[in-house]
Amino acid sequence: MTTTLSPADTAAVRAAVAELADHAFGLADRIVASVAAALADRRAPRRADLAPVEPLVVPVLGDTGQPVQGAGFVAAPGLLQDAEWWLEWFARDTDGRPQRLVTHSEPQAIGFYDYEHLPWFVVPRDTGRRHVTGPYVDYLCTEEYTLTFTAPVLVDGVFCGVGGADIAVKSAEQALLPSLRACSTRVAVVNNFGRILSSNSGRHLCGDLLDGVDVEHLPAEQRVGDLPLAVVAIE
Amino acid sequence: MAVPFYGRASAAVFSPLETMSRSELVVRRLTDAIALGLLPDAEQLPGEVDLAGIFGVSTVTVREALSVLRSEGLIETRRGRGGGSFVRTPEDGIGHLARRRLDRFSLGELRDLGDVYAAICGASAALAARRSSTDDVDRLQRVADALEHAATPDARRRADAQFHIEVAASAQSPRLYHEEVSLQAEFGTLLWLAFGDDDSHAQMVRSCRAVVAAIADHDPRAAREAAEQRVADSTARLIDYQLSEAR
Repeated sequence: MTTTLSPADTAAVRAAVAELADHAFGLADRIVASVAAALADRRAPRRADLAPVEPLVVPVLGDTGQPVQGAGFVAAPGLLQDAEWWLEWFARDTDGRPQRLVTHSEPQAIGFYDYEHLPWFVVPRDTGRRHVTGPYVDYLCTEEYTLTFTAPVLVDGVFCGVGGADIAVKSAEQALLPSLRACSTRVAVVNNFGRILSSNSGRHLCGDLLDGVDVEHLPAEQRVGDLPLAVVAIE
Repeated sequence: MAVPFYGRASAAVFSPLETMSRSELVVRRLTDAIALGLLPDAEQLPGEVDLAGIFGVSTVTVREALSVLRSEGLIETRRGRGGGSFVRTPEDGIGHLARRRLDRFSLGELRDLGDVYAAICGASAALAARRSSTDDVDRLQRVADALEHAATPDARRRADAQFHIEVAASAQSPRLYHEEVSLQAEFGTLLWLAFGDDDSHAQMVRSCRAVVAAIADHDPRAAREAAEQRVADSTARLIDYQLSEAR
């Protein structure tokens, strides 16, 4: 991993990643703000209090020209009076139409999955910061290969859940490939585990791990702002 | 229509798309869902038009399928307001449904199903050993713990299903994940006829730990072997069960 990165190439790939992330977090941040406002004066919030999420999300999902394919709010367990666990989440169905996600919110039900241990929920809760999870197989919701962009909802400093948006890895690849193809050397976009999101090499593909990548300690020119994503050189 | 002969490989291309009729496929899908407990007792099924839309078949096909399910006593249809088709779990439980399905398989077919399941589980485990990050391994450990502490057959079955799903997801392959889920529905329900008691549970926990350890060591070969062995042992146990139950 000693090959050099061209500053111009790196900057172009970073810009493409940042544009994708800004788009997803733009929606996630609007969801966070609306949920925080809805919960602010509620002592005992209920599912109905999350109604402002749907009109924010549905028009975005309905626009098939943009890459976000699912978005919403995931409540911290115990937040809502009428559901211990709750995803106020919308995703495109097979025909591309926005639909409410129906999951089992009853822990005893088959098909119920505990999101309290999943990184897109855990990291914003524990760090208070936004996070990008993936690429991963999203077995909870879309069953697709996905990137999830989440940010914490805090009301008076208390964690209430996460607002987030999903982008399929396939769409992310489409957005990143032009800048990757234009690079003069082999480069990859990796996450905080060194897992490749996209690259311009057939030997290092999406989902593979690159050894010895420590995103936190990479120079700012390789990192994508404060996100757990970076551009690295590969052999 | 005459099918021209293109050589051996074309046999796969020009074979029937599915050997079952469409209504049989709908019957099987709904029966599996009831056997898996995904459609609990008294659950109302979507209407005929909605079901036709969901499965991509005609309403006539749906009606045919529902009438088969009705004659098997798996659904009950009520007319009028608040009417519709409702799931009726057999009185002797969903194990009975799995038993009926098991009886339709020859021992050779069970072995074959086990072979496919072992291939999928083995490939998933080997890729998971290459691609798991530390938090994937943590999650696998947690699921293994949950399996160990599960006390009832039902809880054990769910923890085991979750373990398989986590391994397939850790392989970073949506297709392997989908194969895993559909084989779980087809074969997992049968396997659980012979599992759930304390003795088999101890064996399941041991083999699960072996798979997790190999994945944590990033040892694809050991992970594949452990996962294949796990399925082979389960299949052998199911076949022994079938032999002992056979009249």
